[in-house]
Amino acid sequence: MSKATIGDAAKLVYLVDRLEDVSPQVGKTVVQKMMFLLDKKGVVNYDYSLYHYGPYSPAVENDLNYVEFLDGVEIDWIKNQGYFIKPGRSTASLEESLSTGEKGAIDGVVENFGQMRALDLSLLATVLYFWDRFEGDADGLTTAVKSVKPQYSEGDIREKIGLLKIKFFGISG
Amino acid sequence: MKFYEIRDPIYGFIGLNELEMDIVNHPVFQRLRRIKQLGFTEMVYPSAKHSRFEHSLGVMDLATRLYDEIVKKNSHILKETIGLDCGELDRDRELIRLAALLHDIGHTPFSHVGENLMPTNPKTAKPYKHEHYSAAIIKEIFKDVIEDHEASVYNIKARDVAALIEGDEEILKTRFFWKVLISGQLDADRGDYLLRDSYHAGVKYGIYDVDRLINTITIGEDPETTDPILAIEEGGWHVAESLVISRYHTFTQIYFHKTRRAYDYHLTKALEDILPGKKFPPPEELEDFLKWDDWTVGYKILNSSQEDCKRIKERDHLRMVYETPEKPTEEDLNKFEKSKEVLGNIITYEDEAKNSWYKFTTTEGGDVEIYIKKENGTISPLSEYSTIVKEIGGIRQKRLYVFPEEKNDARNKLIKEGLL
Repeated sequence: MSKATIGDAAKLVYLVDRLEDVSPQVGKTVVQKMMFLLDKKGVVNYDYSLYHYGPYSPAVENDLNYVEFLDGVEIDWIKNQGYFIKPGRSTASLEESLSTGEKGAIDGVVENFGQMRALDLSLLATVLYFWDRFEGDADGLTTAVKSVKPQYSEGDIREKIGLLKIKFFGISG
Repeated sequence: MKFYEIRDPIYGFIGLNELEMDIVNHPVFQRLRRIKQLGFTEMVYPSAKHSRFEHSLGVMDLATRLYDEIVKKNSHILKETIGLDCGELDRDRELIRLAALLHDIGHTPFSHVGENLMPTNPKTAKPYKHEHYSAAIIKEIFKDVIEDHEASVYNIKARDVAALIEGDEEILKTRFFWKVLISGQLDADRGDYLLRDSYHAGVKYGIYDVDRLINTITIGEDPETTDPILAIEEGGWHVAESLVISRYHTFTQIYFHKTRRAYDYHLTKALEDILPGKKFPPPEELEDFLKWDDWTVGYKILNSSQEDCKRIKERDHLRMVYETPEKPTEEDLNKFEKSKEVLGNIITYEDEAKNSWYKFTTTEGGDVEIYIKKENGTISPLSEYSTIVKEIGGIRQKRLYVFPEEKNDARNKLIKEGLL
């Protein structure tokens, strides 16, 4: 299949494939937030809006449902735990359209953030959503994130700011 | 305080207080009477001529009823988990009513079709959305009405109302949660337009039991993140199912109707010809933007000899010659690509449902899964209850259009290649 045919949905299939070995639970939240990180890296192009549960794109949900239909992923729900998403029978053929560079970019994000739980990724993605607006003002950033996610402590938020600095933006010190 | 009632075919009567009535009577709100809810859908369903005006009133009414039910059942969660000040619930209620009333105030002529010609937002490098215009209009034009009105008892600022539409968490703080009622999986916008669009189109597809929906709405907890989310009580899962089916039917039968989409194409081309610089003025130029409505565009179409304007007037629209199934398989997509090769440059318009699905049937957060809450508090997605919902999903149909005079030639080419 040509790359243009299913577009960024092919990257979503590859992401799920790569997350399977490292993520504690590849649920819909993890997929949404990982795709948001990839969007901010310029690897995919979706429209995200912020909700109290973090950045969310209906187009990612739609693509996820579509690649399930194409057997690119399998989606199961387990009571009291949430979604469990794993590669499907057509994963390999749908991934074929991706370039080495695209795969490498996804590998990098998975390596740095793929082991995080949905709870932590949701907070991390919210911090990243506000990042540009505060341009290094950690106090302002912390306050903004706290107003959307009051259930998290300031310490949690600052820890995510530090993590993004080093692992997402490559800022040392 | 005086109280007014407006007759409505969907809800019977919609009540308004003095402040809301003065907003409705403002010339900028009256402009919504001149913006049809469904663009040129009337070319297919002749009675679908209703406007953003009555839809806005309906969204305010429905948002209020949803809000009242959520508050009634969930005061503990609202206070302890979300951190809302329960002493300000009446103020929040009025804030939601105003945001719902004004959420579409920034629509372009012919509603979503006009959004194809929004200028680029320099901050995001993406086109503006009507929500950006709505927020700018509220902050600039409705500021005096909202803040200085003698009936304003809650000290609500125009920027608070705009923040709920834009999703500005810095202004809203914990009230940010209420964004889900303006644009979410169970929002009042969708709840209203499904009923209203069906009613005016004269179809029965969008009908669902709105009273049961309101009666069973509540708040649950996402098991993946523990975030609070809107949910439906288990006893109401059938109404949630019917809401999803309604959305599917209205999309496939009304919003993505093949002929309606042909007119969306012609209208976009006509607007490109009519608008200076082929774009609407940006939100910084509101006075110029607000001059545009269906009447001003219609007058220009009437007096234009441009090809698409002519085709609109003569109902001589593009013809669809090839389409994939609603959810195309890999093989279907390959056949579509082959059809494109066979038809070559006689294809005038390639349409894809994927893009329209969000534009016409969702607000920003519209594709979030609907969750069902059991009596013991646990939640499950609706798709665990309904096999129909599990199968519906988003529509990804693709279509090819040609000029009417090319239709037979195109079909013959496709038949010859075994594609039809």
